[in-house]
Amino acid sequence: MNQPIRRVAIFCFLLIASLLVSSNYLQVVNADSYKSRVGNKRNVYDAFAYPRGQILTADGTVIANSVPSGGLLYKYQRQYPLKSQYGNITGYKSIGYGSTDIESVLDGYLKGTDSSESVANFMDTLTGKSKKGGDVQLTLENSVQQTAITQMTKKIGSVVALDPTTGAILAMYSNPTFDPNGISSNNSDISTPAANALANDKTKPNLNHAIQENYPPGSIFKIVTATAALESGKFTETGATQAPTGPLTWPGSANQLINENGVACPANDLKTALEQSCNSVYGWVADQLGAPTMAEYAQKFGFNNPSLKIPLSVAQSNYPAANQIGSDAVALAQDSVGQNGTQATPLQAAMIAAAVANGGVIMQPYLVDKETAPNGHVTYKGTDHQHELSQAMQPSTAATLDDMMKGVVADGTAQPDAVAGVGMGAKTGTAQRGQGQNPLAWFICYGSANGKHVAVAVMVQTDNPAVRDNVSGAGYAGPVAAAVMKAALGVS
Amino acid sequence: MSAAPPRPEEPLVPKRRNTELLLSLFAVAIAMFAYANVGLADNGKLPAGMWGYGAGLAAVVVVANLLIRYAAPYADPLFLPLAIFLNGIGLVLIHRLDIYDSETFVALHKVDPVKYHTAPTGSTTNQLMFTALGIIALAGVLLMIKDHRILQRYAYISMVAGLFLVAVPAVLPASISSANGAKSWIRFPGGVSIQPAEFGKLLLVSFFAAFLMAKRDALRVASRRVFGLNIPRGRDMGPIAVCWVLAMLILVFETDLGVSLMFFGAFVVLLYIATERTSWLVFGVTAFIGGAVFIAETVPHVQQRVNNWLHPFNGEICAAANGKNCPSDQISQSIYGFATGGIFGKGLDQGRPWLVGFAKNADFILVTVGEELGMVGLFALMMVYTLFVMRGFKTALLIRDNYGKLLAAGLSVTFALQVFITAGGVMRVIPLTGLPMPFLAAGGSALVANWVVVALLIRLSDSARRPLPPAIPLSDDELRAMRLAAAQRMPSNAVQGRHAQPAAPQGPDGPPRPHPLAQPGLGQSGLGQTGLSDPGGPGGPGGPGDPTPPGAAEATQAMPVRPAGAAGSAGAGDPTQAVPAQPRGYGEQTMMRAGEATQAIQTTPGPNSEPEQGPTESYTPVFEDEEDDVRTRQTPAPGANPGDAPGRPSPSERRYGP
Repeated sequence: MNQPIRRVAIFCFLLIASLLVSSNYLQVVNADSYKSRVGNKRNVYDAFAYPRGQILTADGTVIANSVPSGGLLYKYQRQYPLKSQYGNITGYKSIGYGSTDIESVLDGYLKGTDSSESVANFMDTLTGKSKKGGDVQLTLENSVQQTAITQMTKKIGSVVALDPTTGAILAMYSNPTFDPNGISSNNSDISTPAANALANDKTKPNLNHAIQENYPPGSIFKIVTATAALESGKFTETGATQAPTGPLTWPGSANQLINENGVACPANDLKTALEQSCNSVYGWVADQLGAPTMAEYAQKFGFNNPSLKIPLSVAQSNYPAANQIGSDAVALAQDSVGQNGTQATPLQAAMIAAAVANGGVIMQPYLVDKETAPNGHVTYKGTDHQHELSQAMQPSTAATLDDMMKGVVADGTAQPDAVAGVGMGAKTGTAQRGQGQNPLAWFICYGSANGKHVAVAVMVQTDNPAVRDNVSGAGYAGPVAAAVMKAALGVS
Repeated sequence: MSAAPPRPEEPLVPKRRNTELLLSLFAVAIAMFAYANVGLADNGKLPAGMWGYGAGLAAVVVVANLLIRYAAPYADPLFLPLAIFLNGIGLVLIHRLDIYDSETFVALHKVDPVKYHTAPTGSTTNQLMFTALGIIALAGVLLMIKDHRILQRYAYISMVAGLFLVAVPAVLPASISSANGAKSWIRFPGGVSIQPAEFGKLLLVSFFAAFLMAKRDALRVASRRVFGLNIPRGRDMGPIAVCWVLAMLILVFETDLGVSLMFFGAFVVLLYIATERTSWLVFGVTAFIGGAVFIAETVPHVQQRVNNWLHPFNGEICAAANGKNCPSDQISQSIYGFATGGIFGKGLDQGRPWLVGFAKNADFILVTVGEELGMVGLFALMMVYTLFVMRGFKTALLIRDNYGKLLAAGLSVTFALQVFITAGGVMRVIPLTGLPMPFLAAGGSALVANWVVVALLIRLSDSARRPLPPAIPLSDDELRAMRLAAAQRMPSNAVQGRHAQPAAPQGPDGPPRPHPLAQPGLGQSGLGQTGLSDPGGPGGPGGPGDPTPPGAAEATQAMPVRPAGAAGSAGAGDPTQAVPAQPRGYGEQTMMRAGEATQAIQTTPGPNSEPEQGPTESYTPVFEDEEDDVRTRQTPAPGANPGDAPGRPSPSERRYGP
């Protein structure tokens, strides 16, 4: 009987060996794909089991941190001390509703699981320190942001301020905004109503309108058209053009492109037309340049780029492709004064101003100044990753445009918003929307003082029909931009 | 009687009791280390009462060791430490899960003191109590069963009781017997619940061993050869068919693939061991798989388990979609646990194994091992189980009597199957069953039953390693007298009283056996003839077998087949077989394969012919010092006069044990 006993013993060993193989498969080979499944509640528990990293502004103001929740499973809770002020930057981190914005994009780092933190984590394990996530410091400056918030208190719209020489975003605010503390609460009695309220709010307060929403840019797009015109060699800054000063009409078409309030342009050169924001001149110029040239320059400024990340994803700003416009001169003229098919995010508007301010070079906009591992080691520095996004125009063109935009402040539509002591260039815009809607007020500007540089874009949206005819870039958006610029440059 | 040669000395066999004690204390130390680990991870402090528990466990170990020194001094030294290790780790794991339960309660109590007013009773205390009970059961078995062959007498009672215990949950209403989806419990008022199948399986294994030992000849010999397989006769299919039907009934009525598989698997494996016929394995496995597949497709609750196995994530997908009557997500939770553990695990008390429902119970305790101790810990645990099983098989190899062989192999196979079925269930190798992980899972009855297994294996290994009493070479006069006596069909008592018989295997109901060679059961034949309660039977002394020249084995195979029914009388009616063919030294008998005895009885051609020899090809010395055995003894030439085989080694030359 011994031979069968030996065989059975071997068989039993094989049975247990099959368990070892299975263990290997479950715990090593396939472990990662199992672990990351949605049904694995450990992922959620882990995210709240230890303090997550803080989110700070450039000056060290804490805008998101983790506090003990007193719960058993979810030991920590996310807290946003400044409530709604940075709601659209930080986003939220919720047990039941996931995460958004910085909390989502830099989740790995804040959680402490990013590969750049592994050395620090390992050292902490050795020294017995309790686990926590890495901190993220943003480029936003609280003083500039606060100015933007104050200015936008009773307005709907967005503000973006960035340093044109580096691309660092100094302020980014959009109203309406939301307080992420509600949805991030570990108490579902608080988070559920908050989440429902957010989902049902038609104004989409949890959407960062400054980068995730597109608007018709209106006259601020004339900077792009002017760039194309100057670089084509067909036009000069002050040379007279063949453009009509009155409404632009086309043979065989009932359409016409009128100027603001139907007034005639004082002159038809590029500078004067920019100062007075003459649609008829810039529409005519664009028709002369042709759709391919216009599309090319729109792209150089950053339009039609679907993959811009700061590191938050930025919605694509649109300019119709050449083959889409074809030989439709009416559409081309309208597109080129920022109407019709042209759409831009407020960030894109700021990038237009930044291009002029920075000698034609658009720096990649960025939000993250540095990432600090739990042991204090800085693993990422925004300044090490600054790079050129595109060359929108030649430096000589930029100098010309600088002069033209300063003219807008000195003699043109932006006169009321001039900031003393700052070499400020600007462009206003009043973008028509659909029938029955108030136009959007735009204001982009740039300036430098005290060795600092800033480019600001402000978009204000009004809904009161009573003010419809009074909406203008200079009147509604200009004061906001001027105040933000002062705050950023440190001038009073 | 002429003067007998000088009496040989007692052989020296290392008992290894000190090894056992040291290893057991080491196992306690490991468990205490793990316990300290849990406390440190939980609140940074060593758990209160840690030294007390450690001392208590160590005391238990010492008591068990002393008991084994007294009751089973030659037992395999590994069973106790391995069992202590598993039991200790199990306690730590349950304690670790208790911590979570009480923390949850505190948190819930803070929120809603009215709803959550009674603190959960920890399972650790219970488990500790049952551990003590298990050790008491160990002591009881060791003290009461001095010789495992006593169990053989109760074969039919074992069968009836075993079947009753296995089947009773199926008959009881679900409110009493159903837990975790399997109807395999009996819940008594007062919160005590037992799994009767845990004891039932022991009784059934004992019955299988006794039954097959008696029937093996009929089952192994009578067959036709078809396509290289020996096809048993139809009428011999009876026992396996009965077993198959029972296994299927368990599957249907108790929803318990585990018990069913273990029950039938043990039977088929024992059948294979007893008969050495692969065909039985083929039949058994085919029948079980066929039946199980059929039942899986027709009985809804079995079907559900199979579906959960094939599609483990369906439950949570359905729950996420707010579906109704979603399948259980236990398997997916268990997979997450294992995946989270990775290679080295999260560390004790640092994972979330309680996410699996019923983490302490039955099979899911293994998820805690996988998550917190990682693949490394799981492998270590599996190696401990393997070691336990392999020592059991080694006992089966060493032990001298057929019943003991089958019992030891049966217990080992059952244990191995249980480990495989439970662990395979949670690791998604096979569908999930409700079996408890041996020694680890919270559950009193299973723990006590496992300690009984340990006790039986200790008892069996004691008989296996215990040296035979020193045999005294017979003088020629004695030989002649014995032959004469045997020829007159009288029980030979010529040598009675000459041999010390420690732990004498007394014939259960008869007079003391006349000669150590006349082991009860060796010559036993069909149950029908002699009855299980009389293992001594008329078969009587049946040991011809000194190993003999090669070639004899073929002769055996070719022997005409004698019907099973005639086997019993053949042994008794063959006087020559009662006479030892050669002078015997002690240990002689151990070289004789128990099976050869029966073979010889069946096929004996007649008196004074060539002695029927055990097949040389399968000659397997049962001593641990196998080479030594072969080396020190001379094989007589074919046909040599059995009386003048020279050169028996002197007792002092012989060593026993490793």
